[in-house]
Amino acid sequence: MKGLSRLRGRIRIAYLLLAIFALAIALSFIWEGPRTVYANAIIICLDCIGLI
Amino acid sequence: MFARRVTQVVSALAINPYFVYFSSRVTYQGGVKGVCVPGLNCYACPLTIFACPIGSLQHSFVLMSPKVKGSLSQAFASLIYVLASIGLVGAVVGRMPCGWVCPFGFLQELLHAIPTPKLRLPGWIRWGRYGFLVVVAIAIPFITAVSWFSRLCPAGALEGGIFLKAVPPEAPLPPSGWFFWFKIAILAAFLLWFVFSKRPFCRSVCPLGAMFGLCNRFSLYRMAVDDSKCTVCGKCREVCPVDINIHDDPNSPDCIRCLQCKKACTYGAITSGFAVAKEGLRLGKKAVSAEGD
Repeated sequence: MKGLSRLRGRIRIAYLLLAIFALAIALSFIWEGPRTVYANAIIICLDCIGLI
Repeated sequence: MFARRVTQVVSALAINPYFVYFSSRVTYQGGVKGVCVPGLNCYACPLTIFACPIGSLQHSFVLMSPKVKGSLSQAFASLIYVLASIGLVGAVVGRMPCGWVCPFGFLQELLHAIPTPKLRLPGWIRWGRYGFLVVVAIAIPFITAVSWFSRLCPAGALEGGIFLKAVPPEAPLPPSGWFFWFKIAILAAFLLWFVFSKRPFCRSVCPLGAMFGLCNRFSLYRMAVDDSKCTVCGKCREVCPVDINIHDDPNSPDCIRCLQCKKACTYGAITSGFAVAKEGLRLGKKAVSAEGD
């Protein structure tokens, strides 16, 4: 039973991490995290294509 | 296999649907480009509408670099956003996107289907992807303020480099120097390797696979093996695209959760699902039993 309870504990941890990650994404909006990613992504990445 | 192949094709098209580029010669500029796709897909590819998580991760560290006088709060917010986007997917399904969504993984499987003698890779090669994550995708961009993983990435050479050379954008690009051809040589070497070994890039280089792989240990979706049914016949390893023994460690960070082993197992020893926690099923290296472990 010890093993099973440990597994159920891990599932609880997974749910907790899910909530933390969702909260982190929401908080990153305040400091323009997605906006920063967007601003970088819309420019053609010269590093990626080897034209440096 | 058929369902996975369909999913891989549909995912590749869903990530790269911007065929308008062929007439407009301007890459997609919409808001979706701020969303990190759960797969290795170059954001320099003119057809894509999403951001590359590894490119975005490096950019966060470039912004934090002492060489760049950028906004630290924006750099941290960008880093948290990228890591949490990867973590959110990873906490639900672990490394499953590598097996079902990633277009570069799909390409590796297609090339490996070419009938040739095959080369088995040693187990220690897995440590390479952690090295590439920590050193090339994090430390070097922070120190040098240059995204060195992007510079070396064969996916970028294929989806961005060759594509943009063949169908150039409206705004002129810099001329291609020796580095472009060096990058093409890296791509050629990898394409050749894909034919002979099972998913070598995913197993030894991919930093995204390294991060998703760590999520396999705690994700809600889990693999499990019933030791009372498993005969260790080896069929699972034969069909495994990353060449692992699932019965050794069902939730190994190496497993891409393609579920090929589950279908191939004639004894029904492999199960998977959300929140699997039943007596007699083994999810890790140690057996789960009523007596405790």
